[in-house]
Amino acid sequence: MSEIRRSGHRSAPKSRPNYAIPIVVLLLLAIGVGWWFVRPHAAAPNTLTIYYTNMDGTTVKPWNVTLRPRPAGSTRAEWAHDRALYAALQAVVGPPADVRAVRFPPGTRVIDVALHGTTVTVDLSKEVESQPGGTFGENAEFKALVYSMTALPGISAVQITVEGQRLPTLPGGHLELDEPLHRSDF
Amino acid sequence: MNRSIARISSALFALCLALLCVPRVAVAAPLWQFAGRTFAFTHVERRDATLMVGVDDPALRRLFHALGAIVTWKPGARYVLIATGEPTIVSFAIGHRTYDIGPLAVRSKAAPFARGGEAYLDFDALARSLGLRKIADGAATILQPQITNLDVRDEGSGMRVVARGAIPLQARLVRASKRQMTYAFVGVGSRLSHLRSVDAGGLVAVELSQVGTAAHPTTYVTLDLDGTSHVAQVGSLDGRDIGFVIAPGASELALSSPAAPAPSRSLTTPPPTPTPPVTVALRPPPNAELPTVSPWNRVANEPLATSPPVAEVTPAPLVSLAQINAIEAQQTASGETLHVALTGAASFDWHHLRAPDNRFWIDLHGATLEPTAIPPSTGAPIADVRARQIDPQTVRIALTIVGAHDVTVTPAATGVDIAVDGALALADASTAGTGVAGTGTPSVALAAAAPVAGGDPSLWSVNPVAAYVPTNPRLIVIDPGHGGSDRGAVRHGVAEAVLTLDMAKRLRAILEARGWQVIMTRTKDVDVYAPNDTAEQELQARDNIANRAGARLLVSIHANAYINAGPNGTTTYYAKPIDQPLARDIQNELAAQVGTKNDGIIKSHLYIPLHAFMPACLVETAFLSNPDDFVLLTDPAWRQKVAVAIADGITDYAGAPPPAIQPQQ
Repeated sequence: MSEIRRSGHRSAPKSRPNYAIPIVVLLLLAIGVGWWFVRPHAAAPNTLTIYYTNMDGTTVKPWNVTLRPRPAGSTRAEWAHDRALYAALQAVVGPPADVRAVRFPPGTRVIDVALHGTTVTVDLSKEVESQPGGTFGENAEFKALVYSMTALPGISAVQITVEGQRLPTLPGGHLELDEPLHRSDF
Repeated sequence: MNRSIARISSALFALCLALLCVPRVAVAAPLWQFAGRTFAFTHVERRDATLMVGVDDPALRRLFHALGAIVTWKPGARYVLIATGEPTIVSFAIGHRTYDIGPLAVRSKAAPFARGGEAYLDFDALARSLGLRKIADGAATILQPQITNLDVRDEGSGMRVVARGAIPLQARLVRASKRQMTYAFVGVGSRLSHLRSVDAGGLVAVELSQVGTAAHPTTYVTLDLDGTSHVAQVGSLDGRDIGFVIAPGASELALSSPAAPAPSRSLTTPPPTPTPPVTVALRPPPNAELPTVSPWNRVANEPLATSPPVAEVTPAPLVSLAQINAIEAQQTASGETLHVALTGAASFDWHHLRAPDNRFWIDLHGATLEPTAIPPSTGAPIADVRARQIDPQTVRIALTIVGAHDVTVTPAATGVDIAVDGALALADASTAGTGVAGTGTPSVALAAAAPVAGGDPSLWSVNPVAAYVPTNPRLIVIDPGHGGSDRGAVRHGVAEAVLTLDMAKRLRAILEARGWQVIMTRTKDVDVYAPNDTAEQELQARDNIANRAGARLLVSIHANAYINAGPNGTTTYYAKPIDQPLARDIQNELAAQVGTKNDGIIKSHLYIPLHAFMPACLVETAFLSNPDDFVLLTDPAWRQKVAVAIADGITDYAGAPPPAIQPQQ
């Protein structure tokens, strides 16, 4: 009996191969493959959704802009500012020229943007006041800008300033700009 | 002799060494020529044998202006962003040779750098991105504007050819036959492909050729046709392009005004997506050095989504709301205190944004704003107080605060005290809070602090007509838009202010005949508040008339306008939930009666309806800027139709006027 046990004891290492290394390799491989599929898409954080307003004056349409990766040495705050600045500029410039879109008055510049919590302040140049009259352009321009800026992560409101000053309305204007604008305002 | 040679050699060696050690050396600025004018840049540097020009250079600024380009950069910023007139965004990154022209990533010879509060850019790269070609011509280098893009697009009903340039293009038809139409573009050159075969929609090919001198170029664009097609030159979208529409066979296309697209066509045709799927673009390679990465790269082929749905209005049980009876300001030893007097109980949340906003607002939930609660005039540190009913159950009181001050909100049995400390605050963090004020149980409970943005005003889960009770239900206020020093939109000498007054008077006559009392915010062509006042003063004065009178409703009459003649039609704008039914009824009648394009109702953040306590809307009757609408607006019979339609809309909404209350004997 003891002989049998000894014999069995001696033969066990030969009949059972060492699976540890292949299992670890396969496990790592599975983790790697799994990570490949579930990893955050590399381009996603650098994509901005910009909106323009259709020539009906109210329908907003999105298009995407892909930014270069966050530069080394740039803090999160700096990168958030740069993204917001680019988004504001692109929204004011509008879509490619062959797209029929309601556009800001020619010469309108984005002087700067500032992020305060969930509100972004977009400082526009004086040219924005050169509205042709009527509600059509004013509504459509700011709707596109508000939609573009609130497409940024964590931003839900847009405060408009002109040359650094907050205005209740544009001169001869119709929209109230004194308080931050939300998507739900349009 | 040998010693002299050695000294000269040493001096030359030292000079070479110095030149090698100094990375940049100021250079004599070369001369440039653009649009017949010769100039020199003064803010220049040399880097890697490349001319770098400062963005604040006066000559460069003038060049930007001539090209309609706009620079966004300030000291310390990492990117120099240039919106070209095309429009395309060109982005340079300080310290990186890679820059972007819209979706294209390109490499410049030298990286931009910042020095002395100014960013310097590789001028070769800059000129290329602005659509300028450099051509050496004697002492000066000519900057020749180019036709930057020529798109050929199949639009189903025909082909469309659109040329765009670095400067606004002007086309002149120089040769016309059944098989060829040739247009001359004076003042621009082209490096686009000379021939592009199309063979679709009656268009066989597009040929380009350039003649003239470097300083005075002319580019001919020839459309080769199949002999049965017709070409119509169509208007510019933004003044920088020229379009041609080629329709095969017996065309129904009419030549439209070069100044603007044909309204019916532009408004009935769905707008193209940013990158139409069937497009043949003739675009020169931006640079022989092809990009290796795609920074700031536009991806324009995303499917276009529709506008998000507007939050639906869902009725809720009627509740007992608190009333804000007064808002009083009082200067104190430590600053200024605002007391919001409240009858009943209301929950509130408040938010304080610090510099540079310096804004404070408090939303009182389950409360209504009595017309008598007019915000007081204040001094420092509170510069301004505004109050309005932002939805039927919520009143927002907003303060403009001069400088960074601490704000303390204290609930009390009689209301809420908002104390603004006179001393400048040291901390710079935005703050927020919630609470309950007044006596009793608030009708709206706040589960948690609302977000800093003030909550989502789109949550209209209330009965839209529950809150406002007019003190004079027989009264309708009509606001003729603009007036006096504010002419509104003006076309061909016709001012919006005059038209709106005429329509308002017609509306008043109809409503009075139907038994309504009517107040007009103005009965003459004058400012309501004061000549040359601010827009806010003017608009608030109109709202005050309606608010103080306790009117049933307010209708503001306007005429629309846009920078080109394309948009047309009639729209009624609204802002608050209680405005929507009124706007809808008026717009329905206008759509049925006045014969313009029905642009529907549009929600917007408009001052007049926002600051009116009662249901209010703003009617944009038609576009002064559209030729067809202009004819209607200047026709008294059509204006009478508008007045009748608005009156019918009011009747649809409000029914017959309530009987007048007879004074007691």
